[in-house]
Amino acid sequence: MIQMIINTLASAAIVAPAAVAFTLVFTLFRYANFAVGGFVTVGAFAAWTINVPLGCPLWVAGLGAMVVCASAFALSDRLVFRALRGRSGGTLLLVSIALSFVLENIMRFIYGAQMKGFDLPLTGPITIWDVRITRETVAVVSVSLLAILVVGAILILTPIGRALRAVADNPSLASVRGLPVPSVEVFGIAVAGAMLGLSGTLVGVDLSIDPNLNWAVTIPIIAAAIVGGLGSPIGAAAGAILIGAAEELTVAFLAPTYKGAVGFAVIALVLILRPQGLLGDKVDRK
Amino acid sequence: MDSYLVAILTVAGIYLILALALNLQFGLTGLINFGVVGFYGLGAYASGIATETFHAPFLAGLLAALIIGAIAGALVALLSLRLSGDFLAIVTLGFAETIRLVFNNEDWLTHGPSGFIIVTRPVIAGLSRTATSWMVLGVILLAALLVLLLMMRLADTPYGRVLRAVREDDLVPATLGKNIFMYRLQAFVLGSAIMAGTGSLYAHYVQTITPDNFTTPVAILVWMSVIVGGAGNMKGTVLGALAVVFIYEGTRFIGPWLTMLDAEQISALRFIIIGVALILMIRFRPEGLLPEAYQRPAEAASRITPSKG
Amino acid sequence: MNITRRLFVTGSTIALATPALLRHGLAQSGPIKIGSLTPLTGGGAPYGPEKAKAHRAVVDLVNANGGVLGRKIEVIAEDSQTNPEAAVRAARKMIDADQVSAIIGTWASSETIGIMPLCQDANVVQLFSGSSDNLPDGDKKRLCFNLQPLNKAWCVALADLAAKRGYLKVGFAGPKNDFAASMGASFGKSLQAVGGQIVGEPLYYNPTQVSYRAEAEKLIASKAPALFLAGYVTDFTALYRELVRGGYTGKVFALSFAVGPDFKKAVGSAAEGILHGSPVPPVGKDSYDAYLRLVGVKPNGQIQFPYGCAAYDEINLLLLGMASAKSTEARALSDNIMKVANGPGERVTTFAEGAKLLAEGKSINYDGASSSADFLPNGMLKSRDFALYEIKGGEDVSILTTTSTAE
Repeated sequence: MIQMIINTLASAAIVAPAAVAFTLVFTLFRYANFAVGGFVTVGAFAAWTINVPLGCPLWVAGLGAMVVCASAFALSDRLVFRALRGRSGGTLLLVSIALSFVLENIMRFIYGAQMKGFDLPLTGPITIWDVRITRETVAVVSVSLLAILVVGAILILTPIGRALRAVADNPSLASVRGLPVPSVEVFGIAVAGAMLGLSGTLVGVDLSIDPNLNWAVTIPIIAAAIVGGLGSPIGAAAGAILIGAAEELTVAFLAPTYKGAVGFAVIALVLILRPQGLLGDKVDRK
Repeated sequence: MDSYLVAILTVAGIYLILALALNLQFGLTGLINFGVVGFYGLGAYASGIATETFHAPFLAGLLAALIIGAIAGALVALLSLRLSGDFLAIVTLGFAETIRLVFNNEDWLTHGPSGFIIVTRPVIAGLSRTATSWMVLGVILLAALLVLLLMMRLADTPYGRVLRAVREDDLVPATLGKNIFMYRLQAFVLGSAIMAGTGSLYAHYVQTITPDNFTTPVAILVWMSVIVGGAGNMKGTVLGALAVVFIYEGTRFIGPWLTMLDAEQISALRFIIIGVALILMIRFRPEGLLPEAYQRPAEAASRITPSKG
Repeated sequence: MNITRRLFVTGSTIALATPALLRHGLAQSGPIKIGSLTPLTGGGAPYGPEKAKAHRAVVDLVNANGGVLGRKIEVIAEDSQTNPEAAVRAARKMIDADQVSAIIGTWASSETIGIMPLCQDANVVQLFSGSSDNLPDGDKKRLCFNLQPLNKAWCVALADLAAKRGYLKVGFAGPKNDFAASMGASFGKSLQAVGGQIVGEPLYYNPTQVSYRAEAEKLIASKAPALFLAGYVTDFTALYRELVRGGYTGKVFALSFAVGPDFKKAVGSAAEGILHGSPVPPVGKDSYDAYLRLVGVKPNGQIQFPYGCAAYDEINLLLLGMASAKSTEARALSDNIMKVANGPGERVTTFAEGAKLLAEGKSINYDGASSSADFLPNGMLKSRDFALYEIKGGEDVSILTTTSTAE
């Protein structure tokens, strides 16, 4: 039981930062950015490049991946999404899925399909009272938790965070009140990008890094964000834990091959039972 | 004659029908369906199971595909249609992924990853290979033509105008007493049924279907056809589908000239080009190659009210 | 109607423009065309290129010496993407646009089975290396030849090894694909035959997922003293990593292609002690060395290009079959491939030797680079060498080499 909770947290910790990023973009611009999986893949490859060919330690690689993804995400906004602001959510969604496709194939073009892994010694678990836990799990969960708390603190405690929330609530009002809306938006995008880079690094600790990561992570990320109510970073993290738990239970008690359907099933359930999400209080209705 | 050309045209015909159905959902009604491959695959397997497991004739298989596609479309729509468009997109994407897992895992029904073999053809048995492939092409082009005429007719009717009005702005038709939800549901269900029907045609054309035949890249090509041709314009979709299939198959013949790239890079490059083209198209020419004839929704809606009177 | 006219105009423009691209060289007296369909991308990408290269090398040599039946050989190479859908489209192009007489080189069973109906329909001979037990089923016209033993044969060798090492209870896991599913069933039977059994249900997973922790947890909970993991390198590595982190201490059996250099680099010293096996070329045999020299590699007593040597046999058998049949027509070709492969006749190891004897009216028996290349009536291989290894000190240490025989 405790083992299952630990495993759930370990899985959720990977998805949660990306779900926070998805939520942030949704609250700022009111569209679902399906390219999150693509950017996580970019993050994983960036971290690998810094870690293996360049030989830097993994924490440097993680920071590097966050910088790369923040820049790439800001660039994608500058080149693609900014020009489309005001177009329907559907258009932006379509563009983001095409972008995701492009990113995945750019990674395939550059790195090939051979799988890659971080330079990380593989060791067994530490056993405490029959509960097994690895150093990696401890590290992944604490880094992920810390990152989410930092983002939460920025949003609540700092002036730029408050400005960000004001812009998300009502951009024209924020503009009237004299807030520098474009730079606040860029800040929000950079934070989201960094979180995607972080998820990319964390996913590489567990999985083999290859371009197919894109589709493997997209649905769990979006499912976690939706279940979390698309409102707050804490909600997104809670959503990730719920999805992780549902996946663990599916493998343990139902068929492991249906794990990929769990995200969809949970979304469907939430939409039926509680369209406003678990912790959120509103869903954008057309 | 050139049987490869026949094969390409057959594939183009299949993509065309899928794109027309998507154009009804997205182009006319504004519904974002990323689960094209889900409905398409569902129809393919439903038809295959009907004809092979239950020994039904081809037409019964096609009918089974249409019915199951409509039911699945209705269920997906009921789940998410009341919410904003983003949710429909997410739910349809998840639906396609889930349905593919079902194809892959339920071996007793679908033979799982080894593939479902379909012997029944949509044409008279016992003809020569060439004659059969021409006949299959004929059947698929006939189906495409029927769907095209149906869609063009639909787009021009008062019904089609209401769909456009629903797409543009919910309030106008709503204030005119139209039940927006019902219109959306009908358009989505009809589109899904046609996609499933296309799956049936495809299944009896290729004769072996595996879960890998129904992955997201196929949906991207269909979306590409609609956007390039011009959302809302059915003739544009014809142009779009032909362009996409010829670009996709045509790149096979370019390979030998790109010797500095390996096969994997060429394949990745092909998808990069398609994705970038799609983004550029939406960015700079959102109306597509053949734009939909412009008509202000309010005007259209008011014109139909008297006839409804 | 306007639209019909427009459609007609568009359609006929394309119809007129395309054939120029497609129709070059369809004449019957031109070169003999052969399709080389190998996985250059996707799961088979580590092995496809060596297969394509072997086809190319043999054809270049044969063409330099005058070709077959007085005609040149032209290789049409395409990438199967290790995906049946892509393989079918490529095969359709080869059959319909290029009019090939045979398609050789498919690797994953799903792509071989995927293109089979098409090839059967168009009377195109297939030579390939694959191991799904379902492979013989679709070959109604007897046009298929497989250069690799079926899963049944692999599993007998692995189960023997497991029993010999004292592991009679073994858990099984693998990706949900045709290859692994058939592997699981066969392994269970082979293990029973030596007095063992599979622990619990075979565990199948989808190869693209975010974490393998729950799968590893389930395998650990089954308390199986040994596990057979029939994965490809990407999913095998992720699953193995979670097993180690989860504290699994039992023995792991794997397939050699999953534990190559990429895997060893990714997990480091944790790879110690894994037992693995696969069909191997007969190292040191003259025909295998001849193949290696042809593709520009020095024989060094180690296994090199384990799939390239099978491709070498595919193309040699095909060309010898044509020379023997004096035709490229499928029925005669297939019957003659069987004849030159199984004999009786004089032993030959290259096309040149065989063609010379055939021209003198003698019969031949081709002895290949990957095996002796003798087939059962259903086109499946009679027997092939199979080697088992243990990873020690980061190297594959050979335990034994056996010749596995199909029943």
